[in-house]
Amino acid sequence: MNCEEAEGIMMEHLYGEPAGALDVHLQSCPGCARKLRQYSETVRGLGPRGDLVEPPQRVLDNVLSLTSSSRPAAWKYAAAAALAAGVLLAAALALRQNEKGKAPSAPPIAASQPLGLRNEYASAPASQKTPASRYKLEDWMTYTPANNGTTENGKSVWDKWPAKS
Amino acid sequence: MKVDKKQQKATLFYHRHGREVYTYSLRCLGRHEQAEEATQEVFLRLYRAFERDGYCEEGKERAWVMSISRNIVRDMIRLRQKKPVTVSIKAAEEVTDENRDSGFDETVQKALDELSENERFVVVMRHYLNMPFDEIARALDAPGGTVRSWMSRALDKLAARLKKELER
Repeated sequence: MNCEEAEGIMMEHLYGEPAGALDVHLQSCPGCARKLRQYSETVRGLGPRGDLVEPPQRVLDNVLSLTSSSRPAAWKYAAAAALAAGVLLAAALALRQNEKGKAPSAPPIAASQPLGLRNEYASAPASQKTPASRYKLEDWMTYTPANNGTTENGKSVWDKWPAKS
Repeated sequence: MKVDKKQQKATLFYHRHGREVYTYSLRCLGRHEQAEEATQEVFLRLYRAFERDGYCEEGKERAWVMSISRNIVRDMIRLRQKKPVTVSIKAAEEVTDENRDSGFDETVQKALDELSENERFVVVMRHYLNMPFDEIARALDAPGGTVRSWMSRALDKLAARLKKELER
């Protein structure tokens, strides 16, 4: 055994491991024997071995309180914040409308966009449409009935229209 | 307070290793308040590890807990070196009182403070926590021979330092 190997075993021996082959080396190496005595003194100077200190109770209490399931998770805080922001935004918009003093206006309709009714009507078959829809107003204004508005039986064409009730 | 299964496990670990973690933190950091902070952080990390279904191999529990403690204490030491803590005279007196209460020898603590991180970790784990060198090697993630050589270097430095203090 050389001095380097002896030093490794010394460390174990200081803490109660049997010296074994170290004893043989120490008998022939005064330097290592001196070193072991010095190490033993230093170890004694460090105080009692295995001297554990009890932590205060508040350490465990803090750990349990910080990991408690009754503590809302971070996402719950985020959701509550988002909800609060939404409510504030809605309140701010309502306030703004009130300040303007009028109801919200309908969105503008593009000129090219047909109204719902008109669109539905335009796509209906011609047979279902009233005659007025097939003519423009000008056509009616310039309409001249045949025979100056007199039918074969001598009645006016206007007589074909039902009488007003 | 309702305690869930992970908290029960963390509490069990606390009862098994709380004193070791606290003593280790106290001997390495030298102040009770910092040791409390470090111990709390160790068990919070263990709780988070249980949340991720983390586990350690049979018989390696203490090495695992101490390796977490080593990381936290090392971070705190480095943070303290970057941002030294200013301590008032009154606070310093309170620390001395606390140390006296816990049977601390100021001279020993000062000598420990002068060791390098790894030397201090080995001395504290071997001497105060009574951990075998192989377990320390696992906790510090270093070869057994290296750990023994840190210990012998530390004892050389401590011998010189303690001798100087005794001569004063």
